[in-house]
Amino acid sequence: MIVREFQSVIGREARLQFAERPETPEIPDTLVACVGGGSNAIGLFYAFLQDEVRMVGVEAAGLGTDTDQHAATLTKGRLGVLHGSASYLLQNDDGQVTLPHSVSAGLDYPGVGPEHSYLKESGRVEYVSATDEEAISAFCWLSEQEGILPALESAHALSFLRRSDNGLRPGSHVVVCLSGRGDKDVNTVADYLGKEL
Amino acid sequence: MSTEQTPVKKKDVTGTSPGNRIQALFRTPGEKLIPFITAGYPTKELTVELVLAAERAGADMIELGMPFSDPLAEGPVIQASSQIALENGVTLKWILDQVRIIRRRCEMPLALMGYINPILQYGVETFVKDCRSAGVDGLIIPDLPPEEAEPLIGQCRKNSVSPILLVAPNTSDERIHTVSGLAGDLIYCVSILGITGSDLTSVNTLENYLERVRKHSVTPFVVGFGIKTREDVRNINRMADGAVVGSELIRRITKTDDPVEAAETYIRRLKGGDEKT
Ligand SMILES: Cc1ncc(COP(=O)(O)O)c(C=O)c1O
Repeated sequence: MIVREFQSVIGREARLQFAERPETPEIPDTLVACVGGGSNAIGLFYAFLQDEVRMVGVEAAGLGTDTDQHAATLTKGRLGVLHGSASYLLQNDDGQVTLPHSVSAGLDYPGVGPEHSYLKESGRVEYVSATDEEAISAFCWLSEQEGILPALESAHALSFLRRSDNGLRPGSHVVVCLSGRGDKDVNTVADYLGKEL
Repeated sequence: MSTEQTPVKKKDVTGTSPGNRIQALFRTPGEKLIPFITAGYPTKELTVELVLAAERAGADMIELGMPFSDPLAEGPVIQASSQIALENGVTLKWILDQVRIIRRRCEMPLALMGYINPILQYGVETFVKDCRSAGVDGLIIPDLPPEEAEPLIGQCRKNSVSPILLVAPNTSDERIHTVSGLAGDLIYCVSILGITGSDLTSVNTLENYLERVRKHSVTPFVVGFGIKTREDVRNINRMADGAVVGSELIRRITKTDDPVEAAETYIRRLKGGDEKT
C-alpha cells in the first residue's frame, strides 16, 4: 500500500493529461503496464479501478511460459509467502522460491505485489505475458517509429499492442505505461540481436 | 503410524496433556546453550552426527535450520549454508526423517527453525502433526508474524509442539506480553535489529532490553543473533534463560576437515566444559 500510494501519481497524472486532450474522450478505454513487482502497474491502474476501463498487466515470459526460464508470476505461480506477503509466487513443490528469468532485469522477480494477486483473482485486471523476443521487437519498433527508447520492462507492455489477439479495436484509446527509459538497455538489446555498438 | 513413535518421555507426561522436552528443560534452573545447525549442511550424512556431537558436548537443546531459498533473517554464513543444504537436496520431509533417526539415540529438546512458505506448501496441519510424531519439540518461524500465526499455533497446541515466537529490541512491553502469551512455552529474543552473524550490541543495551523482556514475558526466553564466545554465553544466561549460537558454529564447521570434531570442541568450550577439567 505504501508503494501504491507513491506510485499512484502515475495514474492521476495520466488521467489528468488524458482529460486535457480535446480530441479524446474523458478517460482511456484500456490501460497496459508491465508487471515485475507490480509497482508501475498498480500506480497506473489505481486511479481507474472504479471506472469502466480495461486493464492489462504484462509479465515477462522470458524464453516462454512453457519453459522454466520466465518471470510470469501471476500466469504460472502459486500462492506463497515471500518477503512478508502472501501472493502468487514462482516456487517448486517444496516451497523453495525458483530463480526467474527475463531479458529485462526489472521484471526478473519471482514474486508480485499482493494487490495484483487480488486483482487477478477478482478478475478486474487481465494478466498476460510477453517473451524476451516480443519485448526486444517492441523496443526496436518504438525506437524506429517514434525515436523513443522504452525501457525493456516497458517494452513488454508495449508488445501487447502488436499482438493479433489483444482484443483492441481500431480507434481504441489505450494508455501504455512507459515506466522507464531504454538508454540503460541498449547494450542488452545489442547483445540480444548480436550487434556490436 | 504406530504409537511407538510418540516422542514424549514418560516423565514429561502430566495428566491428559503430555508436555514436551522444551517445557521440561525450561522448568529446570541453570545455564542453557542452544546450538543452531543448518540441516543437511555441510552434507546430509553429517546432520545426525552433528546433533549427537552437540549433545555429547553438553548442549541443552538443538535448533535445526530448515533451509529456505530466501532466508530473510540470516546473515551471509547461514545463507550460504542454506544454499548448500538445498543443493544437497534437503526437504522438510528429509529433515523430519533425520529427527526420527535422532530420536532413536537422543532425548535432547529439538526445535526446527525455518520460513513459512515451505511449511505452507507442505500443509500446516500435516507438518505440525509430522513434527510431533517425529519428535520435534518446537518451531521457530521468523517470517510468521503473530497476527498470522493462529493456524500454526493452534496445531502446535494440539500436538504439544511449542511455537517459539520472536521478539526484538523494538518490540513494545505490551507486545512482549501478548506474544509470549501466544507462544505459551518459550520465546526467542533477537538480540539486535539485524541479521544472524552480526556483532552483539553493548552489554548495557542488551541488559535494558532483556530486563524489559524479563518483566513482561510470561514465558522463559532465549537470546540469539551474534553470540560467539564462552563469555557471551555466560553473560546472556545471566540476563536470559538460554543462549543460541548459530553463525559462529556454522563458520567453524565450514572451515574444517572434521566438522563433527570441530562442533563438539567449540560447543564444549561455549558451555565452559573445558574449564572444569
Ligand atoms: C523501468 C522499469 N519498469 C518496470 C519495472 C518493474 O517493476 P514494477 O513491476 O514494480 O513496476 C522496473 C524494475 O526495476 C523498471 O526498472
